[in-house]
This record gives sequence, C-alpha cells and structure tokens, in this order.
Amino acid sequence: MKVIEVKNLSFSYEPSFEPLIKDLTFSVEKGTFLSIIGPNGSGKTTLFRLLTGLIKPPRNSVYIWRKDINEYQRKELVKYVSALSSAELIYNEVLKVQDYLELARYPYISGLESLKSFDYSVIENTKKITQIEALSNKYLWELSQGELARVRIARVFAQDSKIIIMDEPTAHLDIDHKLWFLGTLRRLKSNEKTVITIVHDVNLAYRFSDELLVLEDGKIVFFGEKEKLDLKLMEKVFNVKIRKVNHDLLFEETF
Amino acid sequence: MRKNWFLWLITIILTLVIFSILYLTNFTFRFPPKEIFYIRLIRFLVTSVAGFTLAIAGSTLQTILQNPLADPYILGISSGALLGVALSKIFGYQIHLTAFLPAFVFAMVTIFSIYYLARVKGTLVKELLILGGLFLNFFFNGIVFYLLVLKREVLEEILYILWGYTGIIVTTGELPFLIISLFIAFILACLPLLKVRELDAITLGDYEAMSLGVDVHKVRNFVFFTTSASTALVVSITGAIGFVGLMVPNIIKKIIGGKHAILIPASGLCGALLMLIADAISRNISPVELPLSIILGIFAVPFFFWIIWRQRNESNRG
Repeated sequence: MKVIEVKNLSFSYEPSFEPLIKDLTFSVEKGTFLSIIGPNGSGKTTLFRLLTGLIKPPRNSVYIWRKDINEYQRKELVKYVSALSSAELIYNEVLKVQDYLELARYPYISGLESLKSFDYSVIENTKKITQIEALSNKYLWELSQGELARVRIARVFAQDSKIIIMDEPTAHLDIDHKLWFLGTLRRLKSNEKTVITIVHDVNLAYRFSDELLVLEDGKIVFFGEKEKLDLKLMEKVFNVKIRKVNHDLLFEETF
Repeated sequence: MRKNWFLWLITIILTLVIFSILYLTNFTFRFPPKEIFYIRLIRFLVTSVAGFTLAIAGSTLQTILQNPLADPYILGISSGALLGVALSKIFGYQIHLTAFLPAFVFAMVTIFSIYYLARVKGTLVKELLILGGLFLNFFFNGIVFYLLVLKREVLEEILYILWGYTGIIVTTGELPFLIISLFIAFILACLPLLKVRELDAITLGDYEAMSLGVDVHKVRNFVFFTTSASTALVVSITGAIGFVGLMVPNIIKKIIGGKHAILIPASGLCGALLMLIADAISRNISPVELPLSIILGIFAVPFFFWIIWRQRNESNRG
C-alpha cells in the first residue's frame, strides 16, 4: 500500500522565486525505510517540510494515506505523520521533559481531557527505550544537545504515528547513539511503520535504509532500492570519488 | 511542583483579598457610607478587571509571538483601541459599548498588521514586532491627541485617556453597560484557559508545536481575537494602561513557572493586584490623582533593569 504519494510537486516560498522543488513524483510503500540524500541546498529540508505539512504544499500534490495532506486537521495528521525537524536548540524554560512527552500524546485525547493510563504507559515505555528516564524532571533548557536529541526522538516514538519523517535526526548524537538509533528505526519497520529520514551522512543512509532518494537542485536524480544505486551518478552529484567496500561506501576527494 | 503551584495560587488570592479590603476601606478598615462605598466599589471593579485582563493579554501574546516584550500597550493594540474610542467621543457617543466596537476594530487591525509586518519569509522578527508597535503607538497617539484637541472641552480628559485612569464617573444609566463590558472582558480574558496545552506547545516554536499536532495559526488567531477584544473593552472604559501586561507575566514566569494552566490565572490575579496598588497610590500619595500608566511606569524601571540583567545571564549560559 502506498502510504505517501507525491505527484508533480513543485514549490517555492514566494511565487516569483525559482522553485526549490521541481516537479517531484514518487511514492513510498508501507513499511519502507527511505533515506533522502543530496548535497547542501538541494531542497531536502524543504521537501521534509512539504511531506510533513509544516508548510502547505500545493493542492493535489502530496497524499498521505490516499488523502490530500491539506485536507487533514493538524491534530489528525500527526497520528499519521510524525515530524522531527532538524535539531535546532530549543531554549525553553517552560517545559520539563515529562511535560514535553505528555504533549506528544495530545492528539489522542480531546480538548481539555487529561491523559489516560494507557498514554502514561506509552510515555514510560518510550523513556525506557530511549534511555532518558533520568531526565524526566529536567527542564528542556538544562539538557545537552545530545540529550535533547534523544528526548525529541522519544517524543516521536511516543506519538506512535504510522509514518515517521525526520530531518537530520542524528545530527547531535554520539556515534554509539547514532548507530543505536538507526538500528531502532530499522526495528520499527517490522512494526509496519514507514520511516523517511533526511540524512547528511550518505554512508549511514546507505547502510540502514532500503530505498534511497537522491535530490540534486530540487530534482530527483535517483529513486529506488539502494542496490541499484549508480555510483558514477553519485560521484557526479556529490563531487567525490566513491568506492564500495563490503557494504559501505568509501569517499575520496576528487582533487 | 504541583503542590507549589497550589500554594502560590492560594498566596496570591489571599493577598488579593486582603488588599481588596484595604482598597475598599481606603486603609481604614472601616466601611464608608453607602454612596461613597458604592462609587469605590465600581472603581475597584474597573481597576481589578482591567489589571486582570491586560496581564492575561500580555501573557498569551508573549507566548504566541515568542517575545517576552509583547504586551497590548507596547504592540500598539491599546493605542489602536484608543483611537477607536476617541473617534466615538468625537462623534458624541458616550455609552461604553458604542465606544467598544470601533476600539475593537482598530485593535484587531493593529495586531494583525503588526504580525504580518514582522513576518519575514515565514519567521517572526522580534525587533520588527516591537519597532512596529512603537511606531503605531506614536502614530495612533498622535491622531488621538489631534482629534481630542479639536474638541476643546475634553482637553483635560486627554491626559487621563492617553495614560489610563479608572476613577471614571458613571451615571446610573451607563452602569449596566459598564458592568456588562467588565464581565465580557473578564470572560474573554479567561478564554485562553481552554487552550493551555496548545499554548504550552507553542513555547517550543511553531514547527515543533505543529509537529505536536497544534494548529498554530488557529490558536494564534484565537489569541489575537481574545486579547484585542478584551483590551478594546478595557481601553474603552479606562483609556490605555501600560506595563501591567508586560511586567506581571514575566515575573510570574520567573517565580512560579511558565506553564499556562498556572501562568494565565496567576498573571490575571497579580495584574489585578498590581493595578489596585497603583490606583491606591494614585489616590492617596500624590495631591492630584495620577493616570495609572505614570505610576506603573515608575514600577517599570527597576523591572526593566531586571529583564536586562536576566537576559545577560541567559546569553552567558549559551
């Protein structure tokens, strides 16, 4: 089943600007782990915002669960798509980690209702998985970048959406947490979750995902299973030399 | 933590009750004759509801605009509303509810134009927000002053209208309108309590709040509506009163915490308290009754230094 369908999607922030996203068409099957890669300025983050509805795409160009993304109520949409925008520092004196995670369950309750015991058990569970139990009572501003990244990942897990779309989720993580995290994402796949990540580290993307989408200058230059990836094309897009060593890619400078 | 909130709220309410009695008896603990008490009671209601409303308007605007300096006065909402009031005064309307409508329209126009002015490529520029408010303030106050000077007989009133004054004289015919206006302002001010969870999420920034399922645009329009409507009501009764909406929520955030379930009621009650204190000073300390913004402005100076000192500490923390 196609959980995300993108049809002829073009986008620019102002009508007079040159489009950042140019006529993209692709679809994602349920249970896929897709990574979007591309050099700086290729439109990855814009695409992320369009797929998650953080900015409104044109009508009839992005479908989530066969319904135009613009037709969802925000609260309804996050049950389908959980969005994690790239980890900018949140300086927040208001909320504690626990409060933040409780907000993640907000779409599942109505109005001013309080959380149910089921919601609390989901939160406890995600805290265990992401190893942030000790941080529960800390304010968000007290966290280090790495802790904050893990707390935000916990938020995504607590939301329990069908599709998870993330922009640079591993940016501030240490290497052990990076590998642990991507491994956890792979395990989610078996829960019938669909995962889309935008990853700067091409090698990590290559190692963990099933499918790759390579963007260059707002256009798709490759989309499909990673085994079919054309290394010559990648060399051209990223302006490096690439060799394949076992299952990893090895990059060398061209000059 | 939750116990803490409760204690704070009780403390604030107790202080407010004690001070209300002091205010109503004018620090004598003896209730005055009926007629005087009656006038004082009206003044008490006007003062406390104005403080309550403006402080809550400040607290929600600060969240929605992600700017600790936001408040109905600084953003020009109050002076926009004032222009509406002045227009209706020029055309001879005296009843408060008829002053309200033009006040409300101008308040709404102000907040939305400031908001769209300060949005550059989808992000709010904090400096533009405050600058825009500053210029609109000058602009509106200029027009109000001009309009009122044209009508010589209200010249003395101008000062009090521009700077806020709660000791208004109400005829018995106007009284029901006044009570209704105050009541509606109070209800409007309380409405954001329905959105405390959404407001909490918005403190994380627009994208994060949207990712948590909050329709940020809807909540923003809702807050713009409640704040401009309640501010317009208050302004149409008391004139523009500054600094309450700015100071009170910032102090509450620092001392009790910024979660809106406590921030909103605590700000409201402390706003009422601060206004009562300011009004008591205005009535008792100086030989002439002073407009409230002037007294609050004197409070505001140490507060201003406190904010700067705090922000310096924040930037040191990284």
